[in-house]
Amino acid sequence: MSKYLIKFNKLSYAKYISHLDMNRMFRRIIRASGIKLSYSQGYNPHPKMNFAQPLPLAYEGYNEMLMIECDEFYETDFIEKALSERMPLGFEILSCVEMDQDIKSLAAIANYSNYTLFIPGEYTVEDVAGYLNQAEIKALKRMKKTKEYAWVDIKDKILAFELLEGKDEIQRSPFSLKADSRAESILSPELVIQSFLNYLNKEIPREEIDVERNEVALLKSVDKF
Amino acid sequence: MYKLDSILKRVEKPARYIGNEINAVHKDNHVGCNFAFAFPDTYEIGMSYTGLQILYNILNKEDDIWCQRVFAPARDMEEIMRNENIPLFALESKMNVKDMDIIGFTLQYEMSYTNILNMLDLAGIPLLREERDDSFPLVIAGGPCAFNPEPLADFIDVFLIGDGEELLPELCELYVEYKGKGKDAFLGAVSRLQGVYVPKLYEISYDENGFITSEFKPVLRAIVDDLDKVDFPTKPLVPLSDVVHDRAIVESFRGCTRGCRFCQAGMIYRPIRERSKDNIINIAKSEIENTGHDELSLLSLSTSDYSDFKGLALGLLDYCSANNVALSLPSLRLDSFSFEVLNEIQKYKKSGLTFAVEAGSQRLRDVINKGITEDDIYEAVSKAIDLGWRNVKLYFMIGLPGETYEDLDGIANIAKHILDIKREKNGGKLGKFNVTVSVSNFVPKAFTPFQWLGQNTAKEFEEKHNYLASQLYVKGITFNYHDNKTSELEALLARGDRRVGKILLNAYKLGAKMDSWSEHFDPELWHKAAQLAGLSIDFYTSRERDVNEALPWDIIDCGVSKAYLLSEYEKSKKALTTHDCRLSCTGCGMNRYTECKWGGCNE
Repeated sequence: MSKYLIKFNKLSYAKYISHLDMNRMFRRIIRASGIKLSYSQGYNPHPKMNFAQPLPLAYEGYNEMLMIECDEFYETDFIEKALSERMPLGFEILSCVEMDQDIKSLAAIANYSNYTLFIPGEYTVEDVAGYLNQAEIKALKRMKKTKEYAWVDIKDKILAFELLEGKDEIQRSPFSLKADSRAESILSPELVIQSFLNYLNKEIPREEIDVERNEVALLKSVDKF
Repeated sequence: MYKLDSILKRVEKPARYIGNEINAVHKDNHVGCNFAFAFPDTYEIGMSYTGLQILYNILNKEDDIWCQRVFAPARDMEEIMRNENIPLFALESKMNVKDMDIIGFTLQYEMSYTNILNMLDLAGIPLLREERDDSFPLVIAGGPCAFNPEPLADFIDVFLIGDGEELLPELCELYVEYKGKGKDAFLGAVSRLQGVYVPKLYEISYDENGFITSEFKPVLRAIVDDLDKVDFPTKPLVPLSDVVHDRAIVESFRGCTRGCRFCQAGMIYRPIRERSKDNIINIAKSEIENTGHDELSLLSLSTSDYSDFKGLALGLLDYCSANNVALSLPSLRLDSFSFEVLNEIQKYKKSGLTFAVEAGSQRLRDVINKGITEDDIYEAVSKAIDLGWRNVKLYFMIGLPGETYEDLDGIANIAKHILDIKREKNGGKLGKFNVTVSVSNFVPKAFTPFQWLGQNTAKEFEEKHNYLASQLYVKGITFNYHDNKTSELEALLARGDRRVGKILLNAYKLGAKMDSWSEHFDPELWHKAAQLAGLSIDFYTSRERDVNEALPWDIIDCGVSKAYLLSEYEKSKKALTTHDCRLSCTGCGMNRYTECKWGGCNE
């Protein structure tokens, strides 16, 4: 059995492909490449592949991570090339490395994620400092179980939040966000956007804001050697 | 991109507007011919249509043509596009359709016609061809509904009738050659190609009773003589989001030799043309390799009529089981070999078994020339139950010529008898078993032996549905039927003349669109539209036509002779059947235009 870590970018219009659809797409491309995935046991066997963290619809992703398991061994160069040739526009395969056999899934060892937010308007360093210095940072979150909205404090989950210099092509202000991504305490950038704009008493239509995920950092190295 | 970007964040299923599926073709748009392949329904429906894949592949093989796709935007998307002045764009490049050279609509069903007008409007292109000068793209249309092009004749510049594989690239080539010489010069030149109908070149006149008086030399449809000589896509587009059919497909043959008298496809795709077995298997293999699909299906009008079906099925079965591909073989005739194959491919997961019985009595099945007997069905059902099938689906049509309430009783009796067979095998109990009876309303179609018939009125259909519902209110039977009002308008658009274009335009202006979606369909708009146009819908639908009457579609020659259709019509009145023409030629007239290689092949 071999395990591989594949890193890729998901950019431009590809960001409108949902996580589920992308999952199917990778499955097909891997199949078309002649790479045979291992299957789980049981009544409804499914191919063994998993992602570090689902990327929300309409987020661009850099250095996204996919882990696959195969019964046979393949050269990493072969996997990288075979997938690269077949990816639709907007996807780029960056690398493929063999993984440590002991790693079960990427999501279980996710640590934090770095995001870049692009928000229309003018902001100051003080805006950000004031926001972060609140005793509590309250955001309205839809709870998984009850499906109802509840106020939660996200202060501890914001590991860093900074205003960056300059503007993007359409004059939006860039921010960097380092957010907790551990399975038990994961923070969605949506809550930061919402609470930050709330703090500043600003209303900006959501579709005018863009988010990129730059990387998901893991708790430990996954390399085979 | 930013404008579109902000829109896509606000709509449902944005993936259907992005155009970067696996195997999508991207080129530089500085080509001689930017072609928009327009499907007048949503992405999910259009992407399941194999004709799109065939023509997309053939056009994009040409360096000087870029074929891109356009679908009808969903309601939410349309609303934003209208409010924010975003014109209709092609998926691949996002360029405005209005800036392209040719927009080609595929006509798969009549109820999509209002979407054509809506898409032209969204593109900023005047609906009426007379109102479009040379600065607008050429608007063309093809597909099965183009066999009666007249209701769309006011909107479309050029109709392509028949097989498109050779004709469409030829038209594009001619378009490039005539660039700068004016639309009229091009129309004159293109009208000389076989299969091309240019409505502008035909003036239609009517007598005081509304009957057509003009006479023309009809346009002969385009015919591909040999399917092995035209390309079938081995690198089809693979949709990224959910669509209706998402699997590898190979067309095994075109045409049908059965000669069912209600069936338009069985007439307009003649003669039967098979793709060779090796070619089919090779296409299937490369398709699977190029797409990563794990399901393969064959496309034809009657899968098991393929001359070497056994060889083909075994060959595909071998390949599929070795490669973990699920094989699906639709519309099988259930003989013992088919059962063997079906049992093999549905080993663990038995989907339903479907029978197109069409009519409830042998007499009526003889009238429509549907060669299936009740014994055939019961024998197959019995075998299927033994092999573990639990769902049987029966298709019927109502409103067929000479139909009585006894024929409707026949429908109910067949369904009930199947339940009895199951009970008998199961110690008197039904167990987990279901028969679905699906009833559609007969729409007499152009170029069939029934083209002269009148359709049942919506009221007659309703009475028959109610009667059937009372007969089929039985445990173990599910009864479905088709909407009456939709069937009436299908008949109007399928059998209308050029004046029906006015009804269509009025209906669109009154707000009709997405009429094939029951939640959007409003029949009242259409009745109002007909009133405003001063036309009677009944004139086109429920009225029986005289065999000497000039028909709106006489302008087209589908290859099958009118004399043959007429003789089949006369035979139907006496409930006389006509045999499958693989046994021997039945004289439909196709061999006047092309070799009929499989006619009489089972003699």
